[in-house]
Amino acid sequence: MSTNDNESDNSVRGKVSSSLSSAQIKGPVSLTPTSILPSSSGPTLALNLENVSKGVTRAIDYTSDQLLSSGPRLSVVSSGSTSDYLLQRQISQEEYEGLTEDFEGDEDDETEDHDTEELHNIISDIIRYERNNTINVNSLMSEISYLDLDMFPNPDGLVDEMAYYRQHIEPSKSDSQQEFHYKNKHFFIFSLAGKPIYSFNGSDEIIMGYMGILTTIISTFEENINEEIKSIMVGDRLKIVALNKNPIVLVSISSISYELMALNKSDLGLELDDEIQTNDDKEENHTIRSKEDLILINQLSTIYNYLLSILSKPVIERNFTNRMNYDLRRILTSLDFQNIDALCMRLSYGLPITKEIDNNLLDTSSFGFFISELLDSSIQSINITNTTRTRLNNILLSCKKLKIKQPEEVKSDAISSYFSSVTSSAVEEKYLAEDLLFSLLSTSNKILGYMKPKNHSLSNDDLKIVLNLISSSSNSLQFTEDLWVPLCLPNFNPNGFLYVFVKRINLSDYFKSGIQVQPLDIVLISSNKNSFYQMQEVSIHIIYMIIKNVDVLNTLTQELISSSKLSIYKDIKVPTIKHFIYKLKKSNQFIMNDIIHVNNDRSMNSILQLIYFYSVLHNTKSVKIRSKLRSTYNKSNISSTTIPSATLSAIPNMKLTYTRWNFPHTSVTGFMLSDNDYEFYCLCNVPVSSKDLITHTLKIIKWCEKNKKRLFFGSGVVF
Amino acid sequence: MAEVSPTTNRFAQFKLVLLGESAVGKSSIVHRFVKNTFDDLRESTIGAAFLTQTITFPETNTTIKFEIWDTAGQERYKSLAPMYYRNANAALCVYDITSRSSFNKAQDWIKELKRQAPEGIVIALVGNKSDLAEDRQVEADEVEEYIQQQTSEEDGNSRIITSECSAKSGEGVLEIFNSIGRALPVEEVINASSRGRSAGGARQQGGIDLARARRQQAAAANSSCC
Amino acid sequence: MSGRKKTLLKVIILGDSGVGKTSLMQQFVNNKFSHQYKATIGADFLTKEITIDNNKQVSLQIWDTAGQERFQSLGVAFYRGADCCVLCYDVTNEKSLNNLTSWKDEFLVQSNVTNPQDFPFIIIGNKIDVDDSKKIPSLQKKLQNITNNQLGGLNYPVFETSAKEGINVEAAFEVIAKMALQQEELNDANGHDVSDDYNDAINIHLESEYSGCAC
Repeated sequence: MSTNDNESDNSVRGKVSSSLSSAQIKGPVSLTPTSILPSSSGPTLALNLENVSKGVTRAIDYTSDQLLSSGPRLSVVSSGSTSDYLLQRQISQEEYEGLTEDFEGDEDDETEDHDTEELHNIISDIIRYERNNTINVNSLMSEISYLDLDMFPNPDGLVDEMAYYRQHIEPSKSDSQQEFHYKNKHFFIFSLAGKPIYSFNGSDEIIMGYMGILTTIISTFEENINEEIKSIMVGDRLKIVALNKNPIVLVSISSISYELMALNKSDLGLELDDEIQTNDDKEENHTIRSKEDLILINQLSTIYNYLLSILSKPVIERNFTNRMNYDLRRILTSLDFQNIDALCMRLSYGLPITKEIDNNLLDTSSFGFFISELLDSSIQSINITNTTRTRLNNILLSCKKLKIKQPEEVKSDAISSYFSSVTSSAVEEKYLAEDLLFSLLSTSNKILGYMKPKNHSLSNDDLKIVLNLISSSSNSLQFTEDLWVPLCLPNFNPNGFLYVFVKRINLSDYFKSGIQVQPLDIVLISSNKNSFYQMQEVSIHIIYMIIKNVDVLNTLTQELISSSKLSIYKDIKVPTIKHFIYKLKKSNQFIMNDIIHVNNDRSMNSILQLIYFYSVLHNTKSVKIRSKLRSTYNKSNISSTTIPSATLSAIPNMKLTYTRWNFPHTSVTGFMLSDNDYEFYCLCNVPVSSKDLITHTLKIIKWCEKNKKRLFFGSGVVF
Repeated sequence: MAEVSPTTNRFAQFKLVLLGESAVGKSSIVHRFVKNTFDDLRESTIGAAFLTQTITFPETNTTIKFEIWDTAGQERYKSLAPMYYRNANAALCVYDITSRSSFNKAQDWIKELKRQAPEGIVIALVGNKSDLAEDRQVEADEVEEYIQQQTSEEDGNSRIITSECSAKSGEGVLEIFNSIGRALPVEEVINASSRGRSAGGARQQGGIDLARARRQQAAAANSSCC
Repeated sequence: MSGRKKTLLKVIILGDSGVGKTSLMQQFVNNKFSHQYKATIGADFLTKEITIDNNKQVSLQIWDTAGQERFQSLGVAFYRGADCCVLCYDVTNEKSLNNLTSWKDEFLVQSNVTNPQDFPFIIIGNKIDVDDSKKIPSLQKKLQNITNNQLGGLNYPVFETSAKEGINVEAAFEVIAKMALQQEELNDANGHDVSDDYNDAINIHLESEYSGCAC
């Protein structure tokens, strides 16, 4: 087998070596790397396709000492059984405990209070052993550096957060091989002919070889083993995942710990039965593997959806028809590449791309986007009173009733329109907003009001494409332009375009005093490309309806100003919980409090920590709470933890996850509770008693349920 | 909404569209004109953007309001262009004086406009980035030659306005809009609207009567069953 | 497509084992020649940017396939979407010259190009630095037989090069780039980029009763 061709200098970008001949195709193949893709020694990958066994082609385990050379720094002890590879590591400063236990039992009706007590019992038993730990009560999470967490490889042992960011996180298109190999995360898009379309890092010079290697690997598997390659695991710290959307391929390479975790999501019908979980045999491992790729696959799908949204499926396909050498970059613009960069950054790190990354008050919409992806494309909602929301929705609805007279001399696509009374019934009257399909009122990428037709709706993924369009055009919108943009919404219809009208309004303009209020975006989605002027007049109508009544204007302005602060901390006392997310399952929408509550900042460090804690909390297998104990585990790694023989009433599908990270001077507790209606996640950074944790959790959940109508925009209004 | 009042200020409204290759600086010209700002790192336009700006000619006591379509230059959006120029009164075909290909592209747009746009449309051929004269690829005499050739083909009726400007320094930007304003049939439009009709091509001003909208809204509320 | 800065071209190099494909590539990309022969097992990928016709920037993505017979079937990934194909032989090895036709056929079968007769190929005879005595006897005649054959002949530009001495290598690759670019421009003329098709109307079935009660 070939080895590193060290004679090849820097211009040799990559090499695939394969000893595959047609005679050997059918035989089993095993892969032995001489080195691995983003290694520092150069991109040489050798394949020996002589012994592949069909069963393992989906995910192939490489082992590489190179990857582990930096040495693990984190001791992880857990009873969780599905994120083992994250947990198999040993040694050092901190400890992390993820506790996942199973309970079961008979189903009887109990009061809520009783449930509370039982939950409390369960939790208190889980965390009892920890009480001996002495922890500074006044500690802050800001004392923790994201570099203390087991998030990213740190081969040079960097301790400066900004230096690490520059070296390993920030995308770089430079010619330097070394810079390229330092990056934690790579995204590639290329055609099936191996021609590059996009890369998160590296210049063309650098990436061209990788595109060739990846194309070769992917199509070798496809042709010869008749199996689509989905992922390759390199050691336990590096994964390559491919999404083949013929004629283009998307690949992600990640060495980020929270992305290598398996997803444990019952919602996707992927949760394993307890029985399977205990009989951890190899057959089942196979199914678990495909779940492990989901985080990265979802990211690639999101990027692919972006491509569809600007090009549509037929345009991509037609360009490649009879022209496999087509270079898709020809129809992409620099803005598209910037948008994909931003998307990759949000998906991987929840961070914006900004020169002022050391700003302590970063824009957190990228963090919101990350959480949204984590929670199955849940949409972040915003807190406004139900009265205001209803009012806004009714304004949107009223647009559909506007009528216009159509002056004879003007062509239909240049309507100079006048409103007229609905009661008049002139023959030439038309509905102004006839082509209007969906309307959105949003502010800082969160939806306030939403109108949709009776028999159509936009999926959350499509809504996110629309919201992303707005955030990527915010530069233009600052100039108070009206935008008119063709957009393909792939879930609605991947084969055609809708037309999106966007207008940003500043309510501050309507006040004499210098009130600062976040701008409001009017988004009107039409099926007709010639309906700009109609949409413009609809938007004027909407603005008029908002500003004509001083009460409405004042209320809305006040609510927008306070919307970022959840009033929950005024309403109830939950001092232990620094940050929480409440997701309403039915509408797949979530709310969370401002990240500023955690460390009094919105810094990169705080965002990355939350990304990590929530990812681990979310991706760790949760406990199904049943009212009788099935078995008493004695997890060898957790001293003196006994499982309560508690009974719990039939809380439908209630599950919990409890995780705790101990640091020299502080600790962080993560807690997840869910049932059929909601998912609740929270983080505490003071030592928290089980009683407080449960009481406060339930308080917040109750508050959210009570305020459901003001917290979530629901399914909007229907015309 | 501005109403026409012959004794005070005379008002006319026109549609203007910017066309040209990607990155020649269409949006920068518009923003220099509308906001008097310049952003070196401006992102490319997606789809199209709609802005307005007015200019006043004190000598005739006339105000002109431009409704401006700033279109994306990328090929991807080419098929959308007709809907922006179809009813335009004026068009700015922009090229970058440091890029020959952009000059060719601007000529293509003029050709298309002559074929498809409304008759009488005022066309300006504008070379942007005059601050980068040292990298110039398009010389003034070639532009003049091209214009001569165009004018002879067209019986001299539709003279194309030519100009250079720098959106970055602001030099020449306002002048372009002023010369377009002078070339537009302002008097016809004003006379026509004072007679209560709109002139050919020009979009009627005062597109929305808010008072009427309110009445309509009230009516809608009454007729609603909720 | 004047807004586009660089054209990216995929070039693949085929020919018998040992004719010096990798050396040619190394010479072209890095201006260096490695004396030690190493069989390429699989393929190498190299990139080189060149400027042709004074102002056209072209980025060549060169795929160097394995020469050895046993690695012949590298799969369509290598051939798919190629913009140009280089057929190599060794001026001292008659068999490698005779095999050019089968390399060409192999390429056409695997790549499934739409217009095989128009596809840009070039032929490179490598190792011209060796003693004339070692060269194939009456090489020019044999070469002509191959290239001038009326039916299915390899009527393509021929370059005699020395990867070792760096003779003619650059010139050959420049012609490769030009030919591929011409082909690319021809393609453009025939089939425009489908990039602006906003006319795919979506049929949306709405109930037309907007005026009705919206509750």
